[in-house]
Amino acid sequence: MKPALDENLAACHTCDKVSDLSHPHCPRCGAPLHGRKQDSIQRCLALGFAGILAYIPANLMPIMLVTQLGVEEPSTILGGVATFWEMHAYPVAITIFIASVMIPGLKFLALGFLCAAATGKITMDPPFANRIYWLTELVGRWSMVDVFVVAILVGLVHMGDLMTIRPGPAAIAFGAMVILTMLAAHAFDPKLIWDQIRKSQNKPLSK
Amino acid sequence: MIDQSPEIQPEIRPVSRLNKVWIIPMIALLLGGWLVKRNHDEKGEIVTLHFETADGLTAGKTEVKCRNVKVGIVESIRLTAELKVEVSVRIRPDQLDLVRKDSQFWVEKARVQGASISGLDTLIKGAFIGLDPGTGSRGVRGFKGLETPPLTPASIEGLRLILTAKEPGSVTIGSGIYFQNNLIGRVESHTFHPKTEIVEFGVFIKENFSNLITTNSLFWQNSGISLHVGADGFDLNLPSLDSLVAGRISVGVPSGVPPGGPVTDESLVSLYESLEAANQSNFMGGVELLILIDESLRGLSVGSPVEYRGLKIGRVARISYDLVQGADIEKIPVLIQLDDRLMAAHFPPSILDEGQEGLEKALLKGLKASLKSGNLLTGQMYVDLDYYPESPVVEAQMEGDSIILPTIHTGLNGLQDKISSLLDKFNGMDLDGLIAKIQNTSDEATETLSNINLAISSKEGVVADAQTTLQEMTATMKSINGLLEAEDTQQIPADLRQTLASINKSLEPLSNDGAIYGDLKRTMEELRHAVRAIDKMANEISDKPNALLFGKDPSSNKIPRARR
Repeated sequence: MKPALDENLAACHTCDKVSDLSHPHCPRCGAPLHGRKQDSIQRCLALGFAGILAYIPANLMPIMLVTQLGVEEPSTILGGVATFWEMHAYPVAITIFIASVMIPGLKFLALGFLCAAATGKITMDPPFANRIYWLTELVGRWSMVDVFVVAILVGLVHMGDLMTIRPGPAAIAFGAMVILTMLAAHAFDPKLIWDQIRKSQNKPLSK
Repeated sequence: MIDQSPEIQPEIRPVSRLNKVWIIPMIALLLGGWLVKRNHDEKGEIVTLHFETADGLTAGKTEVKCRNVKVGIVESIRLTAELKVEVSVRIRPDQLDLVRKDSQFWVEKARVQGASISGLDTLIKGAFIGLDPGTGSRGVRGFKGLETPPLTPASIEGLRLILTAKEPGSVTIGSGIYFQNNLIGRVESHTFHPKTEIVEFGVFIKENFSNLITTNSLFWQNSGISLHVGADGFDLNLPSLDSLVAGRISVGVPSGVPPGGPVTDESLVSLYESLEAANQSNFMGGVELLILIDESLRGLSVGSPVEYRGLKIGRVARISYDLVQGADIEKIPVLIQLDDRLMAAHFPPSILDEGQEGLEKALLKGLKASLKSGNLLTGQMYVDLDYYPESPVVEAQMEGDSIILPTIHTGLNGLQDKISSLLDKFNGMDLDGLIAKIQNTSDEATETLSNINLAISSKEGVVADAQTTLQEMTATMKSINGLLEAEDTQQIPADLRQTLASINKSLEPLSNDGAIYGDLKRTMEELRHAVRAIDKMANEISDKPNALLFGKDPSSNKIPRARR
């Protein structure tokens, strides 16, 4: 088995048609044709770094402004977790904590490891690295749960002076963070891991 | 399939090491930095407040409001070693100007004070810390919080006075100050000094009304229902419902008194229990005169008015035999006192300047005092001064320091005297004797004539003509006698007597034991009973306004007094 790149073949990013790399564009859909994603590591790192920057205000600033009878009460994600924990609603607290704090954090870590592995800074078992990448991509869209909850509450709770919920500045930051990490994960080309392994073994995979 | 285009050789350019995608984290970084800066700017400064209790306060939630605008938030609450509550409040930087040396902080929560309920919204919204900006120097960051909110913030312009009273009555914080039934201010504070046993009320008068208050203004309570019976008649005072509950203070300048100058802030003013007390206290002592009254003083009491032709000029100061040395038991000495202020209000200064001489001149002109009935129903009396030029002039007499003013019976009393003396004269006339005398005289005349007749008839023959003439005369006399003896003539004195008797009879009901008098007296007695009952009720209600609603508390007939 030898990589497609050696055969000067590449799959189109858009329609997955395998074409000869001599074509600058996919002969079927006209999208630009690349052997590997361009500047994959740099893009992934830049977007990931921007995500980390958005992660800080997303956790420090209030995500929700609950105005109850004229008194505005801001609540942060961690504050909400603490409130649920104090209320002995442990499953809810744990769910919020995992979905909103832990998973984004782990995603940054995973992306960091993948980038490191792809550039050869660390060695990683390729199947394991692949699994991590798959998980990161999978989990990405579910990280929006928090933003969805806020959006639903804002839409539902509009009772005038009695109680009103407005999204806080952290909601925007959180949404931006999720989008940025998704883009970062998308920018990463997992084929680079394999390229790296082949490079470290210093022999063409093809026989 | 798309036709195979001839191969195009791509142009290869060196790729720069840094990708354009790095702009994204740069933007994120800039946004983050801006957020941090804004957050820092909005934080403001910590101000420390000390309260007795943190009732209703929540860290991170309770707001600090000035005129209901949020200017800060409570950041932390802790208990100091002296068991005082220390509240750290973060004031927004753009509102830090409000925090000055004499700024006031208090916890605003629902309160019921008298007839007013305030801060109801805090029941659901939660308490907040009120801030009243001061005017002093800036930079002070530690304050002692007030336990009760200032009713009127110090920053609002107006007149602030301290009213002192012995008896607070039903006046409490929030009671209104009324000028001619217009609300012009409120009682703000209530302090009782246990040492002097004096109550001090802090009072705020709105600025546009502050010039209504002058140095001669009097403050009096008119809480509760009051019924006053005096020489001026009945005076029933029913205030509005809110003042029944919360008490009420009236202010005004007594009639006839000049308004006086403006009052300074924070000055001490007396608060009287009633309008009467205020008027009494307002009395400006002046000339004292003594009058000796030789009739019943019923209806005259200390404080009764002294009037000159209807103008109030003074009052009865004292009634006592001690006023005159070796007093005549029939004449009760009454000391009257003229009010300088009222005198000045009514009379031009040229009259007042003459002093004692002027008074002596007035006496020579016939100035006299008399008791007059001010109110027929209640029998209240007053002393009236007036000129009586027809009455005999009395020289001024001195008794101690005061001039004795001669008295005269006038008005109803005088009329009564005159009628009774006239009736006495009629009664004293000896009409029967008079008639008897007339009869005697005519009898004697008849006798004399018959004697003459005899004498003439004895002279025989002489002058028969004369005899006949005399006989004729006798006959004439006889007919005169007959006329006199005729029943009709006899009846005249009896008729006269009868007429007088009927006059007497018709006047009888007016006399002391007559029917009309009795009826009047009974009616009066009943009226007095009624008045006494109303007075009692008024006192009851004044002492305990809620008695109207809850009835009289049977166990609390006596007002408990504090132990000395």
